Amino acid sequence: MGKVFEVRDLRFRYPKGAKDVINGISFAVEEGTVFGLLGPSGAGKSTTQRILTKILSNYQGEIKYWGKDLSAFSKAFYEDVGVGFEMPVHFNKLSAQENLDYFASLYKRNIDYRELLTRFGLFEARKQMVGEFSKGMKVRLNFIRALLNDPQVLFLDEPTAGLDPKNAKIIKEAILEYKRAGKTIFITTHLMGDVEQLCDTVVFMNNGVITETSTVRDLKLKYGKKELNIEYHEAGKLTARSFPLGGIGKNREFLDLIATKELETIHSGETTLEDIFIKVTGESEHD
Amino acid sequence: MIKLFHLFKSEIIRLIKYKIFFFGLLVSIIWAVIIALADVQSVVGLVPYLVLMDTGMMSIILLAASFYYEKQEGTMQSMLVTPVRLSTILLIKVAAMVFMGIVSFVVVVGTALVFHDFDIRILPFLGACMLAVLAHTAIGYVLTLHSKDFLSLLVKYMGVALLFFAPTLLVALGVFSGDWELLGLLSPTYAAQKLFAMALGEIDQATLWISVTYLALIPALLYPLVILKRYEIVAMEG
Repeated sequence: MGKVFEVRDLRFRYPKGAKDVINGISFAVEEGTVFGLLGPSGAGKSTTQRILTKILSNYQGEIKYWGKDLSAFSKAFYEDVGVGFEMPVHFNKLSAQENLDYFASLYKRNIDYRELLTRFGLFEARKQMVGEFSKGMKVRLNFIRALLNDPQVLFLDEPTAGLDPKNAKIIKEAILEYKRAGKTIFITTHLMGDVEQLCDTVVFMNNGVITETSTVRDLKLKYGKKELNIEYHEAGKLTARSFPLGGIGKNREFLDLIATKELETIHSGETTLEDIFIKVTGESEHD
Repeated sequence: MIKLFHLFKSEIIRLIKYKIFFFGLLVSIIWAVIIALADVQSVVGLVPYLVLMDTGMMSIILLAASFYYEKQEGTMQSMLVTPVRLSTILLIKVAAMVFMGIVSFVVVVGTALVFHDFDIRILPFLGACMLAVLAHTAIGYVLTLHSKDFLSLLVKYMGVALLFFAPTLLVALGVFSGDWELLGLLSPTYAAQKLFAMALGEIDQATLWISVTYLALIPALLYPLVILKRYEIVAMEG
């Protein structure tokens, strides 16, 4: 696996800004993986994505794309890159099909988007004005638009934000399928459910700096409690107990309890990503 | 080239769907009705003014409407992440405005020729019309890109319209005459008006070349030096 992006000591300040919004971050994005950039609003996630997608320039530090300086790439860079903005971006007075035709005409390579329209449940509505679409339909169309050029690298900003569970599942399955095809996906989000289901590598950002880089599993191991929590019935009451995971097979008290009591639930003490988010960034994910 | 044509076609479809093309055409049709009903003496005087309205100040408003729709929908930013250069996108948009100017020209001048018998030099008139659109859309972009919203653009537009039409009024009132009239050419609208008069055979060579050079210089300088950079900044801001 090669490195799609290598970022070293990246710093950025908006032209009229008083201070850097990105303060010397470094990370790498491996080919064929889903990379999650997480953090609360204002952490610098979207700015980082805008730099990597070459919307913003005048950054300090080093960014390499497939081993070459990102700034050396011309507009041809976008032939291999797809970008899905957080807010669905469409011509509202054009139909879905006219929108896709318009954007497809900007690329040398195109996919047959009709199959995607069918898969995402938009084929019947393809001739309807996008302005009449529901938010879910617009988000799904936004996703299709990002795939029009069959990109090798896909950038998605909050890809499931505001979607109902059914629509969110469709998008997430498509992202995983894209990854299975060997493509690389870069996601910025504050939705921990998405991260848990999609991301191979996660980077937490807050106030323009990286506070943690890891995998979901390692994060859970690092921040979770190594314990087993049991709920059981005793004398008609629901009772809860915790046992240390270490030596659990020889813990006589635990073994007696599971042998003699009516158990309701057994859970390992691993923490949720929401809890990790708060610990790592010091903020609630919805702040 | 095929891509450019496809982009141009898409832009025209967009202008039609957003009814910008329709409103431009509607105004031209109103002028055509007026021309059809007027007598030939009035038409000779009216045609240059009506084409000027469409290709001059009207093109600024239509361009601004098109621009604010795009800004509102965020599609400008999405263009930044495509392989097409911003300069190409701008070129297509300007070409679409020139196309609308030509349609207006055909409707207004065509009606005049169908309903009335008078001499007009079509090709120089068409060339002047295209120059007028290029110059006014360049000014329109400067105004639009430096306005927060459509309302603030309208305020600026009113000021510019007053300024650009001032020489026409001052000449009509006799305030500007003789060599002083050349000062009026500082207004691109007045410069275009003088070129349009050429189509009816009423312009001296000095005025002709000053007007052509001036109208050609406006887009040639404004697009690369001011508009392109500002357009990119506004697109980046989303």
